[in-house]
Amino acid sequence: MISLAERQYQFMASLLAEDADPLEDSSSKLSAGLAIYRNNYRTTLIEALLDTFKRTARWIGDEVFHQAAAHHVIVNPPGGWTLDDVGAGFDRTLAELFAKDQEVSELAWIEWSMHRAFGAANAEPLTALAFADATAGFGEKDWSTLGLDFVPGIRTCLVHHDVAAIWHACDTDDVSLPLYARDEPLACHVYRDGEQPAFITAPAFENPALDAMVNGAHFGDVLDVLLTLRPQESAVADAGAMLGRWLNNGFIIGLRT
Amino acid sequence: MVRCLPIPHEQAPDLHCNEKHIMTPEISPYAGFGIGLRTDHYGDFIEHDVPVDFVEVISENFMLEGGRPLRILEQIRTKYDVILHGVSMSVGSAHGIDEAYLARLKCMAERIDPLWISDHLCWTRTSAHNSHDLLPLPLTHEALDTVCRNIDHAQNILGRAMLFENPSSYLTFPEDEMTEWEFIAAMARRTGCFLLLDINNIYVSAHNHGYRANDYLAGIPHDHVRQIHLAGHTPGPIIIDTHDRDVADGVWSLYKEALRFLGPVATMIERDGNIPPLAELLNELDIARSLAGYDALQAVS
Repeated sequence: MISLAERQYQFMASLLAEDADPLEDSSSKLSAGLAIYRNNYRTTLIEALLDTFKRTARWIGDEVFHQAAAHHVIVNPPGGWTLDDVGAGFDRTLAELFAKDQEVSELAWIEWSMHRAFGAANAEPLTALAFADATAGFGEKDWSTLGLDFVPGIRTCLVHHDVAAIWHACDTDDVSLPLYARDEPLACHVYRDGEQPAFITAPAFENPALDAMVNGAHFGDVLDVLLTLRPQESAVADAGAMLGRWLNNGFIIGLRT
Repeated sequence: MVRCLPIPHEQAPDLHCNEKHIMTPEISPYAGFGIGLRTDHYGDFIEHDVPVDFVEVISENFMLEGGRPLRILEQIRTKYDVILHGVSMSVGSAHGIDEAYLARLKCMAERIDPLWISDHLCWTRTSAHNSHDLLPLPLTHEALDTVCRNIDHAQNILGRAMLFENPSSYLTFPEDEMTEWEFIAAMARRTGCFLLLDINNIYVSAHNHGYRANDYLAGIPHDHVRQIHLAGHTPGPIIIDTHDRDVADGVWSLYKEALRFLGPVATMIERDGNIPPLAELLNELDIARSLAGYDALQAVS
């Protein structure tokens, strides 16, 4: 008799298979039942993707989205217990499928990052006043070795399109495609504002800066990065303004000195 | 209320149990009438006093590190008893239960203090993949051993007895060695778990596999049943358990028959698709109350 483990491997392989049923000795009754489970499996995953990537679906159209989603779940079958993870890597799948329409994967990256931020741990942002108090006595060395803790779930990337305009167009069903491509990229930061996931765009240099500091870099390291990206005479002022924006947007929850 | 630190996705705490049976809190023998809580009705439950004794939530929808869903559930918990009903435990998996999942569920239970925790008699995962569907088990002695081993482990980690729901299914396996009710009776006897009897699932599977629903009702251990689910299905040559419409007449009849075997049991309307206004679900719950002789129950209590 077939073992439980072998039966489950066969059954799962049948669900994951793109077309054919690998259960060779299936009776027609078994095949009919299996077809229902295969349909449930595929439908559940595609609906989960549609739920997470509503604007992406609106941007590319439901039929095309459905094909892209089906391709994604075939190539990346889920492994974890939470259906929330099904969207992991979907932006990369779309980057491959829509190599000439980069705004599609940029939009998907934003939606995925907002989805993750939605359930991220709660944290209270540091006020500008509290930050000013904590850094009042800072000397040059203190600023150089300053580290920051950020709100859980914050992520940043570079975008090459006016993603805010695309987002708004999706909201209003006006996806009649003006040219949203930008000459220069922007940084796009996703975070949670209270209970509401949000994104903002910012000067491109904020992308490597925020990415580095979220991953533990010191403010001095970020200044060094900015000196390579910005005119030397404005780099320090740019860094200060950037820090101010992060504080005002509620990105920072603590200081590490 | 116990506060838990969030557990990163990648790591689970070392919760290897010492296999002692610690089964608290007690499972209440009768918990009244309730409804499955869905996002469309959050406002109703928070802003009004909805006439239910409990709500049941899908555990996985709230097993997050923070944010709005958890805040809302905690808010609702201050007004209503809550049951945690899971879909991802996979007690039928030959490869055992995901330890990180169990750790998160335990944390969630400590935070919410539910009436009880339930899941399904099914499997959802292999060691590599997850179907996110409630897949049927072959009804074999090997599968029974696996299920009992996994339930023992889950109950020990959670420190409480659980309820397990009978599945609806669309196929049977050539290697089956017993009926589903024989399987469930043995499972309950060996693990001490309780049963969540889904009347619609019995109706669906009885039709799909050609057995008598009454044989099923007669064959389960009645003293282990602590909750009943009522839901709608999509008719056809193979009935599909869709939970997207009203409870069918045949399911109401079977519910009435089940009560004859069981006596008073906590009963719930479960709707997962085409979610109607709450009032429609409460009307269905009133039908259940009526069939259960709710007035008589109240008088006795």
